[in-house]
Amino acid sequence: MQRPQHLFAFLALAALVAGCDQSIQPLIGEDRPYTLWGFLDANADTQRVRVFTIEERLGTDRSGPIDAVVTSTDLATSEVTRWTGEEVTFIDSSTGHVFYAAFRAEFEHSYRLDVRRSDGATSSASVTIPPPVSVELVDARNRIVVPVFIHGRPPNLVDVSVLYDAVTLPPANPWPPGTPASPGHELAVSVPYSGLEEPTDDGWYFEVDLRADFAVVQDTYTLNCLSPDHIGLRRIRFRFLAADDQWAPPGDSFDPNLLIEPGTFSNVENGFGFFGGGYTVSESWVPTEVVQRSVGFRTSGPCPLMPLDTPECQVPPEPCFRDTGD
Amino acid sequence: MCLRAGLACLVLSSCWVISAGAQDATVRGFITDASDGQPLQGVNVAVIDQTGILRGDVTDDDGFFIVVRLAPGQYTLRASFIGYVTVTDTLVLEPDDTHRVRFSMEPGIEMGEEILIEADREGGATAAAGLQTVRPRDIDMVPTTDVSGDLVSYLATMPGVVSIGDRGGQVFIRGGEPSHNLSLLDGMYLYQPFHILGFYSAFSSDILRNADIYAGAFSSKFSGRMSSVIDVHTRNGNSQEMRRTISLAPFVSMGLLEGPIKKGTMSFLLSARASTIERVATRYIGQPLPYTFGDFFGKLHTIISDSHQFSVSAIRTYDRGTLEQNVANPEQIRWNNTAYGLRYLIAPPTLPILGEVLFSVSELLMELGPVGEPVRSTAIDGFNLAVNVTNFGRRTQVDWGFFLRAPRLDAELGGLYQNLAFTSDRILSTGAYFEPEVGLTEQIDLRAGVVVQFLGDQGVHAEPRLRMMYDRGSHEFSIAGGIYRQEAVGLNDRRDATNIFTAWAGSPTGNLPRAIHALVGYQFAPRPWLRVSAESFYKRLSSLFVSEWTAFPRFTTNLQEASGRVLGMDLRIEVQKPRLYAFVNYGLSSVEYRAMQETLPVWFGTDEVRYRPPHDRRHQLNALASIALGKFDVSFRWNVGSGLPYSQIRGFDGFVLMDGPTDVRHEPGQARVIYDQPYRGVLPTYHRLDISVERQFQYRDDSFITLQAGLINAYDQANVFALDIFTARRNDQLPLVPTAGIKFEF
Repeated sequence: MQRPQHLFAFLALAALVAGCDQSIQPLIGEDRPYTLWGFLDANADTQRVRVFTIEERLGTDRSGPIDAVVTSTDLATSEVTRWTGEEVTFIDSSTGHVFYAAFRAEFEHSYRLDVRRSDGATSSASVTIPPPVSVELVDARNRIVVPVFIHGRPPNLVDVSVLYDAVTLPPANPWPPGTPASPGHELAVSVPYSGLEEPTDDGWYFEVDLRADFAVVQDTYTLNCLSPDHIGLRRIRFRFLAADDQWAPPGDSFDPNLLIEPGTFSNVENGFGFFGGGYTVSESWVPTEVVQRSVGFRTSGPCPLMPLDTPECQVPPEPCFRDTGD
Repeated sequence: MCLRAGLACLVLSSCWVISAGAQDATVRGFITDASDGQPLQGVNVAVIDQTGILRGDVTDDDGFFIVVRLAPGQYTLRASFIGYVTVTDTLVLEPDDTHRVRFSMEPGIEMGEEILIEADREGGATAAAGLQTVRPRDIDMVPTTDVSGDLVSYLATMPGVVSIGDRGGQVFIRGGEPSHNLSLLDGMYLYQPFHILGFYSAFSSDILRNADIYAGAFSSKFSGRMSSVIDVHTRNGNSQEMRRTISLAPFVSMGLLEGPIKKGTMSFLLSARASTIERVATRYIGQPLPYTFGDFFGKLHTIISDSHQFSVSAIRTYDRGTLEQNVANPEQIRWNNTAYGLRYLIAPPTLPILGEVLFSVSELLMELGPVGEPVRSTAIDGFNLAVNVTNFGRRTQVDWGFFLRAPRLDAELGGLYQNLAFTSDRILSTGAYFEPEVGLTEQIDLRAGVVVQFLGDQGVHAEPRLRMMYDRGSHEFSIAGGIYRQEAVGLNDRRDATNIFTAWAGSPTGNLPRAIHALVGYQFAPRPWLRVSAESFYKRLSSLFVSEWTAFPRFTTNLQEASGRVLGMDLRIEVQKPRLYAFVNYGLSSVEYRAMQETLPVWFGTDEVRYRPPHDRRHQLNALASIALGKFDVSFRWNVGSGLPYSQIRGFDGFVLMDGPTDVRHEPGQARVIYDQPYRGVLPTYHRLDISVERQFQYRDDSFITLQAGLINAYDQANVFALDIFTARRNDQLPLVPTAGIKFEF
């Protein structure tokens, strides 16, 4: 008699457990309303910020109206500016919300950006525009190693680089005559200089080493299936972003695998993302032909080159070299 | 070097044994079943002198027994085993005599008292500290989708064993990863022995003799893995008569042929299984079950003489299928195991030792993606040479041996890990072990051993092992522990349960994964039909390799090194009566990993994050009952497991890299996931009831038909197999599945 009773108890226990809640809720929600990306640019007449709502679905596409009002306040003058929202379609066909306002951010002024939802939830960020700086290039045209002085001390120098506006020079006289030759091709190469600065009494000092950079330019051309032996130079630009004190990533590295983690590089209160302040600075020069040749760049002159036309390294059939000049 | 060391060891230990026992005689031999020639394990062999003093031994899984250091004289040898006619013989032993016997026992019921040398029994898996020995009859009590059982079904009833679901072939034993398990079939390495459907493995009960499951703290004989050992021994073919077995079922069908090549001394066994689930079960379950799998096994065994036996085994398994559901183009995963092995068993005529030489070659190929163009692939192949010797003394036993392994590991990871694309390693592992077992008193046995491994560039490592048993009548206490290292690493991205691709490689950082085990056990048998056991265990794990966390919603990431610890306790109550066998297992376990990826201080403000890995099942209950009701055998199995951890999501936004004057009008950004802390969510409790009813008909003297019907997931519980946390879409395990099968044995 006992056996059926045990079986009954067993099945009753099974039924009890079977009644447990089986629902799963992987999405637990986020109280912070917005993610903001952008910066106040002291050199621009129009300021912009990208606003993401925090959604329950994956993807960057945010088509449709957004429940957000964006304002900025100049904390020095208490002037409040309301920003205008627009829906932007990006190159990947996704859409997003970018807010803009037509004003120029003043040097050394502090601003607060507020993005408010209709229920009052607000994400905000405060930034201070760094003081202005000047750049001094010392005898840049005639030097292989060019001293660069930055007068003034912005809290952070971001994305310091030297941009080489370079081109491949097509062979002027292919041999035998009539041999198909690869056309000229433009490829600007940026050589990073972030972290190479040295402090001076009133700012920072860099040394731009054209010869060392030329090796980087050659490597880049090789990687892009362009001949590294016939590179011409049109212009060199030294550039950087003078940034506010918050524009400093952890570890001094803009590693996307690290920075993508929410909160890793963020100054947004009650939200995510980063909203900075700064302005871009750029100085350019063209070295003399003697310096160019000394570094390794080709200038004008006879060019008895063989064509670069191998199956492994096909140059796309583009029009010949265009002399865009400065 | 190993060979010379081994020979020196053999000579020294033999000299010790011989000198210790000068003038003494020895009785040893092999006992088989007269009906089919199978070795009989667990036979009580008593050697009784004329004054009635008894000495004895119990046969091992080769049917071998040995009684040493007997004074010359006349003895009665008596071999008894439940279900067999007792064998009695008279022996006259001369000084220095080694008396060799080889006899068979006839099945039959004999009234009378069995002389019990050592507790052993029919039915019910035997358990000792960290070790559970499973026999085919234990497996066949577990309801499954087939007439024949499979070892993996029994494993799933063990408290410390966790599987992610009823598919995938991933078995976690006491917190260890699947790649931390050493799976051996007749000494052959099988790197992925579990089939893609979780009810099946390469270990069908039809070919098994027994399986030793070491959930932890295993002995020095085993090395190269850091969590557990599944040491499976197949039976020999029937050496008396030709037998055939055919079974048909909606999930798997099987054919087996065995018989004598030379009656009594040489036999063969061939077995083949093939899945029918895709063609048959899919039709009435109503959901696609795109799984194809099977295995072929063959064995040749010969008894060369009273002292020598030789066997050759080979196995090939294949699996293919996809675990992703509701996906447009699910990726197919495929793998094949192939292994060949030789075993030479020797019991030298003049020495009280038993030795075996094992040589095997094993290979695993695993691919993910389209056939011919896999996205990811891995291969591991190599040979294993092992020599295992046991020297027998009166109250001591010395196990020792040496080994040489050289697996080659290749993996093409196809972007699974950003910091590891291709790997190719050849790991040379050679070493030796020495493990004496000493009877400190009549009640206390101590085994203390060490295995020394030379691992090429990784240097020389010594791994001590310890096991102590205190047998006090119906109470038995045990403690065990040791240090274990893993020579090859299985890399798997556990963030996704459907991603079972495991790449075998050398340690990516050069640090060998290592574990320290400790366990304490207690068994109590208050009644002959009742046994209660409890075992608590601890494992400390280091140099594990897990996926880094990233807010990118993608399935590629970096590898990071982690450490961990496992704590737990198993409780087992077992009832064994003539018409009832039942047990209840409860497992309490806590697995904690500590990850130390470089970005953690920035993300979480701490150097490490402690989390529950996705196989940390805190509570698990298994109840099994097998009842003989009239001519029917009815089995129930109910399994309850607390929910597994998973990572929850707070929301989704976008990420724009602000590494300069980024123009947000032109930068679309990347999709981003705002995760909660890793593995803080818990899936619902898992529970399932399986029922089977079986009846066997005899239609000739030696022919049987077995009919089986059953219900898998009898109350149709929706148990989660995998959850897509981005869409909250869940894939469930099998629903209510009625099964039926028929088996012919003739």
